Formats: sequence, C-alpha cells, structure tokens
Amino acid sequence: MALEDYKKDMLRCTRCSCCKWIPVFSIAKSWRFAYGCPSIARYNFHSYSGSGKLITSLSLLEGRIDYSDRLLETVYQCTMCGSCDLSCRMGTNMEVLEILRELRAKCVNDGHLIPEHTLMIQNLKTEDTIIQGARKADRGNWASGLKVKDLTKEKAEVVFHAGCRYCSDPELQSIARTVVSLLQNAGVDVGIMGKEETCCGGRVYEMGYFGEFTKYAENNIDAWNTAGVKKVVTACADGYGAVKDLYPRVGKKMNFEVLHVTEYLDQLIKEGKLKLNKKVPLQITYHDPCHLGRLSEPRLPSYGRETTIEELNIQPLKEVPKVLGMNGVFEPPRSVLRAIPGIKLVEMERIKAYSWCCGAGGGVLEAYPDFALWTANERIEEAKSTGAEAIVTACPWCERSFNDAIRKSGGSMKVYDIVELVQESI
Amino acid sequence: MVLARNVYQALEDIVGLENISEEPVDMDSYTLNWFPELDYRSSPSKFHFVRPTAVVLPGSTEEVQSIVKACNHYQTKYKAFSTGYGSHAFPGQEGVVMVDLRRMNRILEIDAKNKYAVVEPYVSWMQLQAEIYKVGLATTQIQAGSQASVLASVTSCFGMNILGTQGGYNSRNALGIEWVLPTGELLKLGPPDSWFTSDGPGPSLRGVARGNSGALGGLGIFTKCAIKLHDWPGPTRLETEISDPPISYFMPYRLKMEGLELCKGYIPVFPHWENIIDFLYKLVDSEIAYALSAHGGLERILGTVGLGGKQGYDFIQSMKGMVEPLQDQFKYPVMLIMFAQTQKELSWKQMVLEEILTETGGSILPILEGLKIGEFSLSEIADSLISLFIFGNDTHIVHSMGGSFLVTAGYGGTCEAVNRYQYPTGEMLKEKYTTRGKKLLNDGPNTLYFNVFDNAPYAYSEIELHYDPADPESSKALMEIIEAEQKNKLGEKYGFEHSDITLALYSPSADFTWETRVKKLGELTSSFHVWQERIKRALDPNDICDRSNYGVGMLGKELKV
Repeated sequence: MALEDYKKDMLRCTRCSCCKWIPVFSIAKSWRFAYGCPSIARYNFHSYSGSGKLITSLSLLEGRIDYSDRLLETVYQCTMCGSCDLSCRMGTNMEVLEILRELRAKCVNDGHLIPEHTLMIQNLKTEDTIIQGARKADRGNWASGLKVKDLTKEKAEVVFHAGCRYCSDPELQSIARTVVSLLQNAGVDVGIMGKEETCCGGRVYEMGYFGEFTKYAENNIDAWNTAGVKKVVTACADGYGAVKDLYPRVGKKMNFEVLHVTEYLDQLIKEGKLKLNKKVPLQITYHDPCHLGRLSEPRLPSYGRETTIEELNIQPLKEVPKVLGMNGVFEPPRSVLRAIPGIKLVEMERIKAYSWCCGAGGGVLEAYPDFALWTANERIEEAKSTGAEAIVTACPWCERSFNDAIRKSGGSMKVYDIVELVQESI
Repeated sequence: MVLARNVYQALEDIVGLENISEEPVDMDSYTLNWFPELDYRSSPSKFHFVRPTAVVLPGSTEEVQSIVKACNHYQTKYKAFSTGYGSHAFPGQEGVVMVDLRRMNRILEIDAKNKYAVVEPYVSWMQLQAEIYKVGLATTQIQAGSQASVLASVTSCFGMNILGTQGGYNSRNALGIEWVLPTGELLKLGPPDSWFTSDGPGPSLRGVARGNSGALGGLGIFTKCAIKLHDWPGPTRLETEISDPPISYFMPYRLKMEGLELCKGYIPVFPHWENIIDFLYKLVDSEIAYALSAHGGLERILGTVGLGGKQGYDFIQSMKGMVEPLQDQFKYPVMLIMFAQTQKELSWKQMVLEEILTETGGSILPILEGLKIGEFSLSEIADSLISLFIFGNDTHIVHSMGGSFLVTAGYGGTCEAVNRYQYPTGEMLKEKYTTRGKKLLNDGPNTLYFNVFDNAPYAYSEIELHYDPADPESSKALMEIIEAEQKNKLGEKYGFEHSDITLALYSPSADFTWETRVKKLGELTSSFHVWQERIKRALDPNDICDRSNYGVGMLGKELKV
C-alpha cells in the first residue's frame, strides 16, 4: 500500500479549513479553545494543517515539489493526533490520517529521515525500546521488589504491558508499580514480561517506519498468544491505541482481549473488587489522551478501494466503513474518577473525541521538544481555565509532556495519572 | 516566478523570519482549493493555474500597511487571504504575494448593548458565535461554514446564511470597517472613535468597499470590521453529546436540547414549487420563522443524511421501501426553524404556520409525523437539523456526496422572480445532465437551495450540483451544465435584476471566462463593471492589488472608462 492509493481523497480536498478546528458540530464553547490541530495553530502556514499535508502529498506525487527541509518540518512538526482526521471525516470519507501516515512512510522509504527519529529507531533495533538511552536489560527494573508473576516462566490470566515510557522514565515508573498493586489488590491474576517486554511499535508507525512496526506488532501478538493470557492490560494510551487500532492491520489472530487500565479499574470497581473509601479532596480536570480516545478504534484503511452506485451515476463509496473515533475510551476513566470520594471533576472545553493533544505524539517530543512544550502549555491553559487544581490523565506520554511544560513554566498545576488517585482513595 | 531578493527581504523585515515563506511546499498549499479543476486555465489539474510567489503572515494593521506600502514601492502585486474557500481566494496572475491574515485572529470588542462585535480577519464564525451566545446574541453565519472568516463575509466576499431570515445578508450587517487601501493608507469607515456604523461623515463608502458581492481581495485589505449581531433566544452555551447511534451518518454529535425546548424544526412539503412562492410571501409577512431554507427534494435531503459513505448508503438502502412512496409528496420541502420565549408563543407560532400552510397548499404530512428513520423520529431529525444548519454548518461536510459540489450562479431577487426561474431551470438541467450517463450525482430533480433575508420577500438561491473532482469526466460534465445554465440566463430576461447576479467565479472555457461574462452582464445592466473599474483605478493607481477577481478582472485594464 502506498500514498498513491489515496490520491482521489487528495483531489477531493476543498481546503475548507475544517481540519484546523474542533469538529464544527461539536460547537465551540469559546474563542480561546476552538482550534483542534496543534500544528497549524503553532506554525500558521497552511502546509502544516491536515489539508496542507494532503496538498503536499498530491504535489509530491505529481512532481510539482521535491523534498526539502521545510517539507520535512511540515510533515513531522505534527503530533499525528488525528484531530484533523476527525474534523474532516465528520462528513467526508477522506482518509486524512492515513494520508499523513503514508506521507511519513514515503519520506522514510525515500530516505528523508529526521535525525532524532533515526536515533530512536537505532535504539529500538538494539534495545527494543524507543526511549533514547534505555536498555533492554533494564526494562523490567521498574518492577523490582514487586511480587508479580514473570510470564516468561509462569502463567497468568492477565499480562500488564508497561510500555517503553513507564519502563524507562524514573519519574513515572511508580505509576506502573501502582497498577500492578491495584490489580493484585482486586484479586487479578496478573503477570509481566519483565525485560522480555518490547515496544508496542505504535510510535514508530506514526513516524513512518511501517516495517519496524510490523515486526514489533507480530512479536508482541506471538508473545501474548504464547503466554496464553486472556487479557492484555496497559496503562499507556499509546500502547493501547497501537494494539486496538493498528495491530489488526498485521493480520495475526489475537487470542486475547485488550484493555486500558482505566477500563479494567472501572470494571473492578463496579464489581466491588476494588473499594474506594478514602476521600481525595481535589478539583480536577481530565485530559483524554488521543490514543485512548479518537485513535483507539480499529480502523482498517480503505487504500482507495471504492465502489460506485450505478443508479446515481457517481457516488464513490469506500469499501471499508469509516471510523471516526467517537467510540474511544471516554467514559471509563470518568467513571473511575467519579467513584473516588472527594474528587470533583470539571470538564475542559475540548474533550473526548475532540480533545486537544498533549504534544508528545508522532515523534514530536523527541524531535521538536519546543513544539511539544507549546502544545502541552496550550492544554494546561485550558485546564487552568476550569479552575481545576490538577490535570489528570491516563497516559505516560501525556504526563511526561505536561510535567515538562509545567516545570519549564514554573506553574502550579499538578499532574496525576488516574491510577495514582485510585491508589490514594484505597 | 521568484520574488526579487530585495523585495523578499523588505517583507521579511516587516513580519519577521518565521512569518514569511516562498518554499514550494508552502506555496502549493496556497495553490489548491475548492474548484480550480473547473477552470480551463488549470484543468484537469486540481492545482490553480498560478502559484503565489510568497506568503506573508502579518500580525497587525501596521504590518499590513507596511506590506502594502512595500508592495507599492517595489511594484509587487499582493492579495489578501483569510480562511479562503474557493479559487477566487487565490491570485489570478503571476507574481502575487499572498497576505495570509490568520495571525490577526482576535475578537476586539463585543458590545452587547448596541449589538455588534469588532473582529480581526481570522476570527471564525464558530469563535464569535461561542462568545456572543454568552450575552444573548447571535451571528449571521454563512453556509461556507462556521470555520470560515467573519470579516471575509462581511467585507470582502458573499455567502448565504440560513440565519439571514432574521439577521439579513452580511453586506448589510457591515458596520465600522478598518481598511488598508491599495496604496497602504488607512481608512476607517464610520466615525473614527466608534464602530456602530460604516457610514459618515460624508457619503457612505460601504458600496465602494464591498457592494453586493465583495471586492474579493481586489481593493486592498480589510483589517478590522464590526458586524451587526442579532438576538439569540437560546441558552448561553450549547452542549453537544456523542450520538450513539449517530443521528445521521455525517453527524455523530447530537445537540443537547436543554434551553432549546422552545426551538423547533419543521419540514413542510408542497405539491409544487409555485406553492412555495406563495408560502414564502406569507411566512415572511408573519415573521414567525427564526431560520428558513430549502435543500432540494427527498433524495437530496436523504443524501445529506447519509450518502457520504458506505454506512450511510447501506442505511438509506435499508429504508428504501419506506421512503420511495413518499418521493412525490416530498419533492418540494422547505426547512423551517421557529424559536419562542414561551410555550404559549410557540403554540401561537405553530398555529400561524398551520394556517399559512393551509392557505398555500402545504402540509406537514401526517405520515411524516410518525415516521422513524433508523432509531429517530422525523421530529428528532428536524430538531437536529438545527444543529446542522445553525450551529455547526459546513458546506464541505453537507455536500460531500459524490466527492464534492458546486452550484450554478447564485441569484438574488424577489422570492417570486428567483424561484420562478430557478426551480424549472434546475429541474430541466438536472434532467438533461444527470439522467443520460453524465457523471454528475443523480440526486433527484430538485436540488434547489435558497434563503430569504430580513423577513422580507427577498431570496437568494443556487442549484446544487454534486460531482467528483477526482474524476475528470465528472468535472467536465459539471463545467458543461454550469455553462449551459449561464448562457441560458445571460441570453434572456427573467424579471429580476441582473445586477443581483453573483456569477460563479471560474472560467470553464477560453471563450466563456468570468471576465467576459461580467462584461456582457455589465452591458446588459447599468455598466456596473465600468463603475467598478473606475473605483479600482481611483483607489489603486499603481494597479498593485491583484485585480483578477474584482470587477472585470484582467480585462478591466483595457476598458475605456
């Protein structure tokens, strides 16, 4: 499959600019928080928008333009958050996000690489992790001292996949430990893969390295099938989105259910297996991670395959039903938060399917940290506008991005993962 | 064409390194737009026939003035741009610097007492609307969509709006305007220290600045404008929720109706389009409608509901048995939204509506009242159309059927004159061009769209046509139908003012360019094109502001005025 397969979609772009804003039917609540796409909001030239990248793709395919540093900036100074895709596809069938992904794959295949991404890929190839400097041998260290099953040696019903960020980020590792404790507390038969756990591959797919993604997706599916687990649970939204959205593309049978920890905690709380009794007096707002929200539905790309309805003369229909991301994991995290005594949840304006990105995705955190900080700061400003004391989320990448932004700006907003608040209330 | 280095440097000095580009990747993103493939100069390419030489992003009126003065100094053409939607937003000649105003994006003032707002060029309808709901006011957002620029509609371009029923056409909602003239001088329309009017002291310049259809970037750059606002009887904040299942294929959100209980949507139907004309006169006289428009017949409406994709098509197929018997009865519907402050007022308005329908042969079919489409009653769908046409509203989304859409030339005039021409013409053209193997969407005979304005019997309408820009044959078929309609129109008298015509802004063939059509039209009327050219020469003595889409465009230079 290739960028060419989406040429018809590129030709149907009307440059209406919907891709820049939150979906028109979601109804903006203010002047300040009406934008959906961080890239165009920060860099202003149309080439940075979803539509702009469709035009760039068409222009490249037609030989009107060639690769340049600027072209790579417009392509890669983008968090691949999918906001443009949602806003466009509300009424159209254009595969905006797929085109963005294929455009990056073309850049990679044509040898036009981003140095920071190359380093991530090198690290992935040698250490099975995309975190620069992290080592495979240390991957399981986050669980040191925890009494948890090692699935390379024992059987368990559930595997907890910590993901690259939780495994290697010292500031966040405690959250992974908390997840295991909470699951054990609820009587879940849980295990981990330790140093044999590998990257999910989702981030490198977004960066355009489809081959590497396939390798890691196949490896993980095989490992989890072999381990015989019934459930794969992760606290990383990126990993969750990769397994839910992208893994079906490799075509391997998955003999397990995939759950984000917020979904699982919600179930366990509702079943009475986790009792949240302790008051946590805090006014918070919840940030929907892109990969837990709009990017967590399986979406098989149509690859330009279309049919026509004869009686209508023209009416191109994609063979594959479109997915908007409206059925992402939106309610379970909110349900968990509502179950914590003392928590007051106040919503931001851009929520659920049209949540604003944290800035960490698509390889931006590593290659364009200033842009990541800018994007995170925009979200923190929105969080502040609610009067919340803390921004709560469910993804280590979002937490990293928010923590970095607050540290840099000297702000007082606190950042929590949901599991931390659940732990506090037990 | 490459911009001379000294000119580029001068512009960079004004806006800063980050806000200027001549990179091909950036320039091409300002070269593809809605319908360039329908212009013989571009066809069959989707890229416009000319690429700008550079794009600058000014952040203030002062920077805009400096850019314009520099362009005059260096004899470099320029053209303003905001959200842009359509090829007329792009330059029409080589060597033009585009002045993209998207960094000028502030709402400067909302005066709730005097009902106006002052905005910069890149404030979108959705942004302004969100802020003014809070003080009980509403905009007159155009059908280009809530993502489009308020200022562009008010000062520079045209566009219909369903809210015009009460709020009027935006050329009439223009209040104070800040205008960087083509030479770089600054002119404020209206009193210097206030925005509540665009007139005085002295003669009004609003007609010169924009007239009916706007100068389309040909007369300098508008940097601020005030827009008249209108009463909003709804809640101060609208909330949506994800609709599962979606209320329609394209609209997965539902509007929460809290605060909108007294806002009701109706789809009355008529046996013939002549009945609609009678209905419109009585309806505007009664002033009961908050918003009103027509969107073609049943096939067209169902297409809006679902034809955008596979799920939608499957959904419509599943309902075919139910809707086919209704096709004839549902050939001429109108969409209507009423607002009331009290239940009593709503009941009274409903009573008036029923009476008008009885008098004009219209009805809300009893069978429709109980009709369910999927899990939703027609009444729920009618209500949800409120969110579609008032609050969200994006042409691109509503018209994704077939791939994309365009319209025949828009006509404004009395309800009778406009519709008496448009309905039969539309049906004749649709019959001829969509049932004989042409590659245009066969979405029924009636695809007429219209609005009325100011609760007066003044209407504006367009015949909607859906085509696939990815299929050159489909684009060609569309060019043929539009050319046929305009040749038909220009050759005859239909009882309404030709000067009300907004021609479609592209050139399907070398002997049928926009300029030649405007010239012919001018000769048929009051030589308006000559007056426009006089204005152009008076305000832009160096002919620096790109004239391609204003007046008679490039032909104007040869005109004897």
